[in-house]
Amino acid sequence: MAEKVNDCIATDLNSVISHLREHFNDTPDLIFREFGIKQTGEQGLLVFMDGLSDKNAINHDILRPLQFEEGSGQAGGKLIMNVGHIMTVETWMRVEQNLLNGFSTLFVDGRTEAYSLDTRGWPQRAIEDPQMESSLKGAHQGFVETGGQNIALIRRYIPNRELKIRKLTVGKRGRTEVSILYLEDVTNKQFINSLEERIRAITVDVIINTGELAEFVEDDPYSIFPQFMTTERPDAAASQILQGRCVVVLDRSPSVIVAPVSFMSFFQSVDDYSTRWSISTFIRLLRMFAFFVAAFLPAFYIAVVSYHFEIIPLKLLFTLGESRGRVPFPPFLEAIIMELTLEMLREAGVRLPAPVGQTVGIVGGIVIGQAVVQAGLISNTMVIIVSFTAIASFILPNYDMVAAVRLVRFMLMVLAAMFGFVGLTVGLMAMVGHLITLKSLGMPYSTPLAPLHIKDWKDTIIRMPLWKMNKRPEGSAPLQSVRQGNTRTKEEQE
Amino acid sequence: MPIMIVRRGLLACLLLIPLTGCADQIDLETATVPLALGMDLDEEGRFHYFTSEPIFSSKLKKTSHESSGTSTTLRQSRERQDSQILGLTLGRNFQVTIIGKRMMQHKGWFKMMDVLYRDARNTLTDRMIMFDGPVSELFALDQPDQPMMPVLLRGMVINKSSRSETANTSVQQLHRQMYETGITPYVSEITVSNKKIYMAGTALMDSKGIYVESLNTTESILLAVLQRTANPGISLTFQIPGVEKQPPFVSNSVSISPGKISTKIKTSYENGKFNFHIKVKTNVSLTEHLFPFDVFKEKKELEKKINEQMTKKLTALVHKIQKKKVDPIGLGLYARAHEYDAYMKVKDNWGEALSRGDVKIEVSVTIASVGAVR
Repeated sequence: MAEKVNDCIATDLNSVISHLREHFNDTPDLIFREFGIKQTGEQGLLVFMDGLSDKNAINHDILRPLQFEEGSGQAGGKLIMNVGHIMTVETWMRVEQNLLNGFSTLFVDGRTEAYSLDTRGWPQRAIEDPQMESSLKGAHQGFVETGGQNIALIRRYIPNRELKIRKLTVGKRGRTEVSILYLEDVTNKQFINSLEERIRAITVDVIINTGELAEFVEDDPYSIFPQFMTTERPDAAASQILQGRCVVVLDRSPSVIVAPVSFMSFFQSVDDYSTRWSISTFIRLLRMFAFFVAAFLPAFYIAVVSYHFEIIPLKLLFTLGESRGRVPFPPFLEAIIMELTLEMLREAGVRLPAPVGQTVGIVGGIVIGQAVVQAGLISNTMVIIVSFTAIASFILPNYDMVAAVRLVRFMLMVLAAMFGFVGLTVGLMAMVGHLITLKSLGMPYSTPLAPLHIKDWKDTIIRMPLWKMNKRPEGSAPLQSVRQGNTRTKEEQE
Repeated sequence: MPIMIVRRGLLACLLLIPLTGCADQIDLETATVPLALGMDLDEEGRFHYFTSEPIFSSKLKKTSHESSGTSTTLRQSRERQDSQILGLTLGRNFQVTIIGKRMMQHKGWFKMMDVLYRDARNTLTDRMIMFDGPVSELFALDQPDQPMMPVLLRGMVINKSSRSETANTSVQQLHRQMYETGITPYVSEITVSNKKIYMAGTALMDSKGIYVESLNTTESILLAVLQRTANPGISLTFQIPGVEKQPPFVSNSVSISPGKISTKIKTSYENGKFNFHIKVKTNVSLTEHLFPFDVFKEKKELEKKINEQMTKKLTALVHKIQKKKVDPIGLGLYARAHEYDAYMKVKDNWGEALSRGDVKIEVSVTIASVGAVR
């Protein structure tokens, strides 16, 4: 950028080579190929990055037609190549960027312009089942590390010209492409504009993953609750776009950001819409219950055992008293030990390769579960509580929310150990208050509960039949609220 | 942004400061939670307390620990209790409160229970029981073939009262019964004979709380019928006069099991007297009859005989109550509702007024089912 003075590319091939060699010193993967162009009779130079470009395309679609096919025969004439996307570039800066992104650049002796040819072909992963959000009935294609492909995957679900993309670039060094996808006639402009504004304001070296991007643009960066949702499922992303939300595709990252989202959307999953509505309603309710269990159960146990044991039913009192009586630690310490063990087991399982991960599970299950109780270090009630909590937290469909719940659980445990039920109540109130104040891209986080949008409840705590949900959720203030006509009611009228 | 954090931190601190903090934290295993509270007077009139607390240990054979002693008040007794045990005594898990008969015969015993009501940490759902005998005997009882005494007693009261065989009066309800003028208190009564605990029925008290009379289990069921608290599931057995007996079997018996009982009480006040007309109406199923009788042909006749017997028994119960000048049925509540002025004049002596009143009982039983055999 510093050499703006003489940014125009050289016309002489030798000076081109020396310029590039000078700027790309210690870059052995930059390949120079000089050849004579038969079509025009001029001298050509093809430059590309080894590994980032598709060699087949270079050999067959560029070098072969240029070298062996007849053309106009005049110098400065049109060059015929079998390449879809050809850009004419005139500055060194563009040449450099294109080279580093996998484009090949063709210099012709004596011409003041060079040609960037789309031969991009870097190492790529095949499209696979999503790892984090596997589903029973949904599609089995997950996002990959190429932004263009991810956009294509979404477009497959919404082949409509109203699906617009705003393309931005983030990062001084990394220059990551960020695309905001939205439906022009549905999504509220306010969301798109503020998202774009926030992304433009980012000044960093490079953004590697969607999580980083989310952290830079979130409304309240200090909150423990995720205000943007990340998903690796194209079908989930598409259905969010159709509800009037934006999706941010970050090149090189296998997941996309959905914004704005509400607290309740973390309890929804794509499978909800492909199973029968009564069953998915049940599962939704189960998730709500699991959320409270995962956040409150250990704290509730601590509060009961160390403050309010008058509420324990008599028969349970004997069982609890007996198992507590053998344990040398106070309930809070006992709970913290077990919860930390669980968290360590979970982290160990995540980082280790699958076969070893299983061993960790067995060690955790048998050694910690059985031996600790037999040795009289931990009461078996505590083991039950911790396992119940863990199971409950696995039910929640979104990993970010599970992580938030884990932290909430520890805070509540401390409160419960210090103040009993009073502490728990204060904790709950503080949490609710915080959730109400939170915003996602300016949309209230706890919609449709507060502010109240009764109509959105059709798809919140319960899931009504799909043919009843004729409007898009009010919470995200869509420009076009009607989503579908009356499928069922018409039939009944006839 | 950092300002916001500071603000939030301050807010959190402000929220936390007014809380009472860890001061009242007592872990379950360090607490001693007596499940039964006993109170009695000895022969010299000294106040004794008794408690029975479970021991949470699988190593010891005995699962409970009993402590007792004398003290001037119940709250003062707590220090004495603490001095005998490992943990801290808390009145949070009482299942039953047992008062000795001797104590109940003394005026003013109810005042001794003041701490149970005043200190909100104490339970109020524990069931009130009168023990016919010295309470020390009950707490010394340790039968290996029976569950822990408090558990047994609570189970007895709750399960027997579901069939109306005894009263189901909690400490909270006793408070109401004591201070409500239209009703006199009644609690469960137990006895011990041959080292076994028996549910004896219901103990009746006058408006001052002084024990006056006991009802056996059958009378307790009839009392529940009049109180309109009898649930389906109760069983009544009558002897029909004029039917031949085959000794030693009392073969003139018939047992019925009423369904839902409708009890209607009509109140009037005439000539300085309260009149109550109680109509008991119910469908019953015949569960047992030991004499030959064709129920299909002569159902009406049998119904008539059962009506007679039941009326007789209910009337006898009412007379017993009137004689003792108490009112566990709560007829005073009806009198206040329907004859307010007349009631207000006698409200401090309602038992007396009731004993002078007339109670007429009318039973109408319909046999709805005669059982599975002819």
